[in-house]
Amino acid sequence: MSYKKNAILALLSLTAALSGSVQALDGSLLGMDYNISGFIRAEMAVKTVDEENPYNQRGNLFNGVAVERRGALPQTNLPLLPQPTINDTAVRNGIPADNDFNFTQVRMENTIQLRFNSNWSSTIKLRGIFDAAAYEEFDPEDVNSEAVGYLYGEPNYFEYDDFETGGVQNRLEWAGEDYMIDIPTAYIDYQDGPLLIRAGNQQIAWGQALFFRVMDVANGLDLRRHLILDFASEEYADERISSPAIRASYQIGVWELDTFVQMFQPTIYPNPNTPYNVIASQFTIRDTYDSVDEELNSGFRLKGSIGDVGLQFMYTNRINPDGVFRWTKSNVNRDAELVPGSGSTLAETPLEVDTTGVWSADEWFTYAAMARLDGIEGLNTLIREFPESQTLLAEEVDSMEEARRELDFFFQASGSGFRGHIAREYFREDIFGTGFSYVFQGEPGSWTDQLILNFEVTYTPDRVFTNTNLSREYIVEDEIISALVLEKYQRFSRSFPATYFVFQWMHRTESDLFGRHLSGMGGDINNTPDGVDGWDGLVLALQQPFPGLVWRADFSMLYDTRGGLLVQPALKWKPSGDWNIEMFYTYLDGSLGDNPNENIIETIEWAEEFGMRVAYQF
Amino acid sequence: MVVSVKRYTRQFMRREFLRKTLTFSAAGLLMPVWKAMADNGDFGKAYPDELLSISEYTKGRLSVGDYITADNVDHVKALLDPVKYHQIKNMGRKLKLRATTRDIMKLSPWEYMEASFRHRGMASFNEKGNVVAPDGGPWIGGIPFPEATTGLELFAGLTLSWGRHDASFYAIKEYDLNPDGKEQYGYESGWAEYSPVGRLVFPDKHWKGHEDKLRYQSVIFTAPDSVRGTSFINTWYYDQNRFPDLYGYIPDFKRIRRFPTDQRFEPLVPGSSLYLSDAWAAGDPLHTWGNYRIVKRTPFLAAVSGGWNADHENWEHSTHGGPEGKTFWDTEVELVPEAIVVEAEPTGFPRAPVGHKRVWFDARTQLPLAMVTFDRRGEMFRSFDGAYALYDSDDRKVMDGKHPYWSWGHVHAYDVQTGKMTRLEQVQRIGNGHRMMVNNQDIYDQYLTNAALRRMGQ
Repeated sequence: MSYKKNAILALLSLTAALSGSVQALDGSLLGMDYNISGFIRAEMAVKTVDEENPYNQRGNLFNGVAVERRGALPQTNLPLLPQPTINDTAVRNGIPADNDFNFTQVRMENTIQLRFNSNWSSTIKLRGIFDAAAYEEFDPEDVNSEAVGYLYGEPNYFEYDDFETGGVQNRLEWAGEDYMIDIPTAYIDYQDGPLLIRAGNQQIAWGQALFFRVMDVANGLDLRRHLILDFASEEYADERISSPAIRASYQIGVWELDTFVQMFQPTIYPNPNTPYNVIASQFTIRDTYDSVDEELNSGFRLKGSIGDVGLQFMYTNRINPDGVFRWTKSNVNRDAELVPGSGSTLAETPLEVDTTGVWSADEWFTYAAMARLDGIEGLNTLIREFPESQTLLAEEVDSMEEARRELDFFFQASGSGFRGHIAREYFREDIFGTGFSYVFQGEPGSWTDQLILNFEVTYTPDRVFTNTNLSREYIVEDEIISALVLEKYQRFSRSFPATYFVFQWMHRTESDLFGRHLSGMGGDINNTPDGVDGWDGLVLALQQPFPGLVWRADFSMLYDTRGGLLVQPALKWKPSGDWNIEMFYTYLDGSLGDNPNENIIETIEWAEEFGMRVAYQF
Repeated sequence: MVVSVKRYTRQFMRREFLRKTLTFSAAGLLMPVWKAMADNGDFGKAYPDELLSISEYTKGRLSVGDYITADNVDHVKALLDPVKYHQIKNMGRKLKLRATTRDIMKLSPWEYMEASFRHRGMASFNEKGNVVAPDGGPWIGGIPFPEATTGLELFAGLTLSWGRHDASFYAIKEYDLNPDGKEQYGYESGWAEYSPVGRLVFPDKHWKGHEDKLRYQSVIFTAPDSVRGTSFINTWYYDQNRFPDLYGYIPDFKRIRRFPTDQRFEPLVPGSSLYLSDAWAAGDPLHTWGNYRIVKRTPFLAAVSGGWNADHENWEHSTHGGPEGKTFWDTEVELVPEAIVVEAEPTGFPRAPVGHKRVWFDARTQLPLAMVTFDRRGEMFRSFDGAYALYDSDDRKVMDGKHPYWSWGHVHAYDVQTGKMTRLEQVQRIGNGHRMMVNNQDIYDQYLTNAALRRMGQ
């Protein structure tokens, strides 16, 4: 506890100390104008619920829980012999955590702008982040874990690239266990009349919809720091991953053609056993980014208006940055405790014997449902696609009962548990999109006056999704994603500035907001998923500035129509030109529907928290 | 002993101003001021000497070079708007007196005044209430109604052209002070204006294909870091019954988005006392306000010259007054012989905090000299007063083509009810090399397109 307290104090002290020693610079040198400015910010989030992150080892729902296992080999393997059921009780040896904080970081950003002449300019942003890690961290020695892979020992908050050595994939980033330094912006601009060419590391964002990414498809997201639970009104400012690119736009009258070619950069998920990890830590991920790291994405958008109607058309050819997952060989030669010599066979399957794996059928099906997977078909696929497993007497099953018996049998044989190794792969896709906007002109002061309507839709033929059985035969389907956006400033009193309202409705035909295929929805510990048709999300957000704009109250709500609710009231305070303070409480409830495993909020429900950021700018 | 015999008494002037107000007459006491200027190049013949010299007006109590302070402000109370009087009387503000500028061509851009003479009598309102040229097309430049007799005509001219140039880019420093006189917030921004119609310097009178627009205007923030890259573009329609289109680049969103445009009575950034509606005292489309009426004619003290600080390399101004000596710009004012006071109401903004505004126009140039707004209860709300300048000082000058640059130098935006002051000044350069520009075609491409917004964003 004292360590955590000291870490927080260190964060605040560092922020305060640096705030007094840095200052903005501006001037000219050798005919070039320069400007240097930035900020230092302490960021923290205090947990407001007792739940720990269930995807982490120390938040595993089965830690310390006695689970009855009833293992038996499949009938079909040894038809002439009796099939005794082996009953035992498994108690997962994970040590539950009791964290106070979800988030304890300090960041410094420094932006350098250079202007060579009226045509040429450049912007470089340097970002440094340190995580004080005031968390009760996972220690593999506490549970006798020997899990392979750089990320499956003690937590590493920022490195994620190489399976053996860590590192990072971003070309302009350097990271260690608890820090990262990167250059999210480093580009040079050339402007000549209506032509603008921007070359270098940059973010590209298209579309009017906020938070719901319809046309905003150029960049993946970096979810390592605060997942998607930052101050909501900032959208994905900190998450959208920059990528080396050349972007050119040309304006002719009211029409603008915007094109880009960029190097592919995948979405970065939080690492196992870090506060916002959303991939069950019983999985070991083997990323195949190396096979696509030279690939390029490209696209164009034509945006303009005809009369009072705004129009846009876009096309993007990209590698989906989210990637898809499938079973892969573990290559770990470690014997199951009760089957000496089985290590070499297990190495040819996705399984790795380790205490940090799955210990029981109950755990298997619980986490399969949470990950929107099919526990039975997942087992069958593992057996079918890795026939070496059949030499250990594994057989495909037809029912939940058979699957439970077989799973419990092998977990019993393992002596601890099995980790599952999965590969992350990337596939190319074409995205076609269009949208229109219209501004209503109503009676002055009415709800319809200056009401902005936007509609955006994209069509992606043959999009590749993770199969709910983790097969190498991925799900391939056409997907349509659309969003309706209504925006309005409405003034309710003469003494307060107008309130800004945003209402959005997103509909997705094949996947949820996190990109998981809808056929994996609706499972639980006793049932495989039935799937659902279509995903719908509603957003209502409003901002109420106070007179003088020194204070601003925000309210953001995301409702998953299958029973998930995220509500974030927030307060932003700018007491002086140098200081900025933001406070926000994120309420999460994923159990408003029939089955929590049908909505997206259930996946992050444990992250309910109070966040605070204190920034000094220079 | 020399006895000065006054030809015109205060009573005469007061009576004449009242008569002209009631009879909707053109400006000028002894003869119409625009006729006098057109005939003689001098407005002197339109006014008695008492309205051309502060010394004459105050019977020698105040002279050019003197400071108006709390001790002597009551001598010129009738020449000040009520907020300025309050600031001098109670807040330590001082105004330095300078001689009345007699060369009318030094009180606005040369080309604009020249066009005002050339196009005199050619403007009219069409059926939609928009100012049109004789061919029914957009106005062709200069003051459309030099001999204005209504408040609508005065505001129509002001709304048609804010900065009186075909294109302007103002580099601006802003200082926001709390009632204790401390600088609480500071910003650097750029403000671009570009006229697609009625152009006087650019080769084309009207920009082909853009004749339905009145103005392209943007504001960009370059400092501090929390707002850097934030920018907005307003596209004004020539039809003054329509709100402009508003597009903005918010760095957090990393893209240009369309925004509602009818909320114009709120500061753009925290701590500021400046609203979009305040711009040039006519920041909204002409017909979103109404009930324009001339309420008074009066001599006035205003900073129509001398607002450029040539002594500072970046044209920054010095301050005085208030608890910390930083509340007011050092300002020189001169006697303006006739100001036309016009009131208007925000008829297109049912929930605006402003009940009506009162604007003092210089009768000679129709420049806004001061603005005071009143809340819905009729209480004084905010004030807006600026200083203009010909950027020509001894051996230093800033050229705008063949003539010295004319523009504004600094502005006070004061919230009477909270005591908060926003000071703005036009400087030569703000962060990252954005420099003042005038009548430069590049202003459109550099500051008024989507690509420009994206380039300035971060």
